[in-house]
Amino acid sequence: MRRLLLSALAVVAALLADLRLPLRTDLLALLAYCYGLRRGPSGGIFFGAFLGFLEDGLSASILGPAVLAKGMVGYTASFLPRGFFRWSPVLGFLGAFSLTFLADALQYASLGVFWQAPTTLGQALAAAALAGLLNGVLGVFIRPRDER
Amino acid sequence: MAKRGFLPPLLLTLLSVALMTYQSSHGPLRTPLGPGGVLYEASQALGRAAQAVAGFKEMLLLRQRELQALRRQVEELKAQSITLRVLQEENRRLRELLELKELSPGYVASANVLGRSLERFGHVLVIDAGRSQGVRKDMAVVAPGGLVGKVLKVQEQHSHVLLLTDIRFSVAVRASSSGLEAVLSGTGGRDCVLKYVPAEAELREGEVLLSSGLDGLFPPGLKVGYVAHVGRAQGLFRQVRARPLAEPMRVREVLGLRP
Repeated sequence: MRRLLLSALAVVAALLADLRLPLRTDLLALLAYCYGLRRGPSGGIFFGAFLGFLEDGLSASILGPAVLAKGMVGYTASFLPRGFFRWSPVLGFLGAFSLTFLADALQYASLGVFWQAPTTLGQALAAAALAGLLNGVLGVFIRPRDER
Repeated sequence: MAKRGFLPPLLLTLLSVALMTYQSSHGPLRTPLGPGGVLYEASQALGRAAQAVAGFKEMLLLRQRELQALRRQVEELKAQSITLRVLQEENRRLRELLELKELSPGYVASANVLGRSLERFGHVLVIDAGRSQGVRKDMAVVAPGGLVGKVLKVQEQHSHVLLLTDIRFSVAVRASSSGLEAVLSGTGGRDCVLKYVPAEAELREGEVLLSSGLDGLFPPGLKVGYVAHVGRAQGLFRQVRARPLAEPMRVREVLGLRP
């Protein structure tokens, strides 16, 4: 299942890169979400922070915004199927959408506060919403480990 | 337990904020992944290599398209060249025919050869001139090379021409050098025979044979053929083979001449 998911992600990323749409995907946020959902808070936060470190390291801006955002996605995702939440495809969509959106917004805010805003607020929110929608669709297929 | 659960994000937040605050005043930290770092440079180099490969691929594609376009042009030019050669050849034939027409006082009509007749063994051509164009039976048919045959059958718009290689064809001829009179007849093959050549006659191979006009069908002086082989004497006559000058099976345009 994991291999299938990773293959699907790779195919989607390749297709989107090849289509050259004005859409900026955030598949690292989805990966952090997936990891946190299946591995719990500690694994989620470390893996998310690691992915954020890679993202920040490969960018020309400061180190930290993606570390914080992706780490938080991994951490928060682990709480979704707990408590009174019971995992369902709708929850999968909403979880992936909202966490991606919040992560992108947090990343934008961090850059704006500590470095320089990469774009206008409206465009950043639109990009975050689009990336969140795409991840939300993919989030329907990502289940917690103990769910069948 | 709840406190322990919130520790990692708190630490992460504090660490991130500290990092970002530091970098906001001192500039971005250099990591192996960032600009100037080994991994960054390696990734950049890989990107450039990928771009170079993509560029090369695009160039190959472009060259391939150019090659295909050039091949198409070559094919078109070949076709044009063939058409041009055909037109040149036709032009040459028509010019020869025109000269022949001006030199032939008995000219009646010119015609294109439509094809061979359906006769299984006969050497007969069909031409696109008939009674309407003034063609009559037994009229001489010539091409720029020489005599081709005679009109065998006339229709309104078409005629059948009996070629001089047909076994039913005969014409009175005279050797151009020796002045020897004889009758040239078709054999049904590629060559003709010269009949009634006396055994003691002096005839050389290659000598041109002209129509003598003694048969009353063909105008005198038409080139008919040449002596191809002079054989042994058998009794009173000598066996002589002649070959037509006009290559009757290959002519495309002909003239009809009255005697």
